[in-house]
Amino acid sequence: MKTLIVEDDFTSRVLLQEILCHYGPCHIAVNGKEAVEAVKVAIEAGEPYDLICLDIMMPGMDGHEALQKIREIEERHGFFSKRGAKIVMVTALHNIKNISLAYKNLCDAYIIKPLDKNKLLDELKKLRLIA
Amino acid sequence: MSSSVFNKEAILARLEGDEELVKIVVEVFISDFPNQFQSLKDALKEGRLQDAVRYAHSIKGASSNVSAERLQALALKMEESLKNGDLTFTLQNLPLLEKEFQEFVKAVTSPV
Repeated sequence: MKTLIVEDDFTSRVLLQEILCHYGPCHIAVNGKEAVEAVKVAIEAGEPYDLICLDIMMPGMDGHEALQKIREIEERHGFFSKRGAKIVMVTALHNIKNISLAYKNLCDAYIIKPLDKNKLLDELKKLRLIA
Repeated sequence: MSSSVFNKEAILARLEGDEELVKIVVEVFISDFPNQFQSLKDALKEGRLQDAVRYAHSIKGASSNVSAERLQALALKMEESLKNGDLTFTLQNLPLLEKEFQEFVKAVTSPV
């Protein structure tokens, strides 16, 4: 499983990385703009991400905008819905407005901080990313 | 439920009892907090309200990940008041935020 962690907070980033690095390569982006670039590069290299963990509140381009842009890039490259990356929002924003917007923009799961390791791994199992 | 300075049981439960991982995350949090605190102060001083909201939000998220519950609760209040355009609460409570952080450092470094 190839993962991209998109998170501006250092603590949250290290926590995700420590958990996910056991399942394959883990790349880091610290804002939405970097994330979109990383996704583009990975797709063009023929090695797209399997999983993208996406924070919402970040400087510059936020997680909602990054999610939309990533799905657009995938669509342009002919990856439709189920063939694209599994995108899991990992955020402290837990109001309906943010959750429904993320699902509308085609995220696959929504996890609320503080991060619970088991909940995260359960979601990855449901998404058939890990056994 | 009263919140604790450092809820070790809670963080251990969330990280499957992995003491090593708890240690790593706590150390990272302690090393990064001064940067976050400074960014929040700078944003307030320069009147960048949206950035201040984001930094308070970041501090809240990071503290929640290490179960620094009192720090988390204070950062949440700051985030909410800043969202309502109120800078006073945060400005007045910056020293308390720093104090809560020092309490957290004390709590994690003191032998159980």
